[in-house]
Amino acid sequence: MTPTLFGFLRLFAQLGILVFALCPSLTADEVHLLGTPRLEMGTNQIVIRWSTDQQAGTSVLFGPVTERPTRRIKGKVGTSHAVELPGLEPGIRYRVILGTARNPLQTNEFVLPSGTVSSPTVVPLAVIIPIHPAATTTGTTSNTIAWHSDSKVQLAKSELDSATASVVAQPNAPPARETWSHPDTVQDHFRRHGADFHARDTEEYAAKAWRFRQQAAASGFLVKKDKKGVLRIYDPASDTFGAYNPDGATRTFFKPGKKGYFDHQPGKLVKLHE
Amino acid sequence: MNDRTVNKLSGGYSCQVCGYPELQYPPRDSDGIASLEICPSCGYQPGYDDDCLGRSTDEARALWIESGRKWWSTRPRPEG
Repeated sequence: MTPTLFGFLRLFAQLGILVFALCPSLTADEVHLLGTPRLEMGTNQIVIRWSTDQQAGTSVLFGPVTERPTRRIKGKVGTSHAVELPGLEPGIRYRVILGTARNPLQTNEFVLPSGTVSSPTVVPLAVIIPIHPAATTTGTTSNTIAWHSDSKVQLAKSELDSATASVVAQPNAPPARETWSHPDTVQDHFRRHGADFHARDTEEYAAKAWRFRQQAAASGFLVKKDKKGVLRIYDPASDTFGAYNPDGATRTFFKPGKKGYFDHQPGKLVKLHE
Repeated sequence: MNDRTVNKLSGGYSCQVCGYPELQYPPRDSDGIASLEICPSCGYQPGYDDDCLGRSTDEARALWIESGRKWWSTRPRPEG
């Protein structure tokens, strides 16, 4: 072997060792999520727990869905991972990316409920449903976890046992042109009131209004019906108000911000049936 | 201006603040019930601006005039 060839082979070997040292993931087994992450709810914080099939770092990147997530919290290396996310605001939808120190494993969204969680300790769990990948590009999610304003969460289809609280998966709302009373006016209502609900666009705003109407019966919101059949619905816990025509179309949706507002609304109190 | 005037030319109702004549509902009906409709011309919403923000139609009109009577909505302003 000539000196030149030997030198070249030695250099090639050294480069290979260098690559291996810098990029262990190239040769290490890929880390996988075991089962479904679980979430424990508090008043202003949550704890996310998940398991991996091998030892890995713990990292969560999160933030409101209206902006790029920037808050990162790291944990211990292991196969069982737990991260507490403090300082959360009720009613705001957050995006959370959990994973190892190097790689994301799953992205989800959640909404912390309004009002104080009645239990003095962390309320048992809910299942985070992964976001459908296509949904994120359109700005809407097909699977989002949310809770009602009190700590009594409706049982829905769930993988959890009876000892844990379940969640109601938010139904997909029809487009605004189908749910709003006069579709060409929804952008005006979004402009005035969309920020109250951290809505990113008119579709999200209209969808929230539609869901509010759908949840009214099960959630026990206050409902008045006037002589013309217009429904006025109010949730005192979140100070959310919606008005709906007799055909169910949304007329408006906002947060009054004034004590006693609903008391002065016209109509008689009625009970909606689910 | 008459809050309950139906503009027979446009078929709509007139805004109490700016007089825009094509609202879908009367700002306040005969029972005084607010429409909750937002006027695209000045942005006033009966049932919210007055009942929640405490802003009267006179105050809203003064603000709208002071702003130069600008068309409020992002929807195109109708011709004429």
